[in-house]
Amino acid sequence: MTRIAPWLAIARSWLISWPVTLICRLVLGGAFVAAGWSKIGHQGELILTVQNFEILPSFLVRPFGMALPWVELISGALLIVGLLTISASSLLALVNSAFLIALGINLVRGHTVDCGCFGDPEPLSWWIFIRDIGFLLMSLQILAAPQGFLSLDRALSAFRRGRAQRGHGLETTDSRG
Amino acid sequence: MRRLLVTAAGMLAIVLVAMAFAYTFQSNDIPVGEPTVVSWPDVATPTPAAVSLADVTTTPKESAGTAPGNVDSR
Repeated sequence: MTRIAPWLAIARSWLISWPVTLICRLVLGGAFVAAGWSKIGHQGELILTVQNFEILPSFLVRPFGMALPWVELISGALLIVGLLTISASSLLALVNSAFLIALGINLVRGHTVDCGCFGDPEPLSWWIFIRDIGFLLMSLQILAAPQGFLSLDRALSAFRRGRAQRGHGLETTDSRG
Repeated sequence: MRRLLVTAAGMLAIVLVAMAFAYTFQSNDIPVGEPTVVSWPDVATPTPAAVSLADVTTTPKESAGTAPGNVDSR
């Protein structure tokens, strides 16, 4: 069995600690809420942008362009409040992977289409690609260490556990009585 | 396995809610029919405002003086 170097063990324990998860949740959630909100009134432009990427088949362009802003907004909001955290971060990891594939293909092709990332017109660049890699890493961090600090998931599970314990206590009392 | 199913169900629920919102609150600029490919400069550059015919053709103003060739002989 290989031994992990001490600095690697420290880095690993720091990377999966709750402050890092909380920061990733808030940054990723905030970024996707902002991205979704900026696109909601401009679904037509987004549909054209998705079409310009020339990745999806034409019958998928419209539903994808229409649903994407809401998927981003809802997933981002869920990450911020910490509800359905694993599902939301998995979905954002999938969305980010799709963005990375689409961006990479178009950057290699040399197409200078609009990114359509945060509402304002912005040509594709490697900087956007690197930024999306950062977002993907954040969503993977949340999946690797879904700490529930300051989250509704933890509050709900504590509530459920408390109710189950109270119910168990009542049953015990009843059986005694 | 159960955790994976719960995660997948949560993802599906988010997507379905998002689709419901998307089709309920559609924006007005959604193109009708097949969208066409537009290159980046066309997307970035706003189209110039339409110029009406009235702005281009100027109506001849009546001259204040007498017209040439119609000189007053008096």
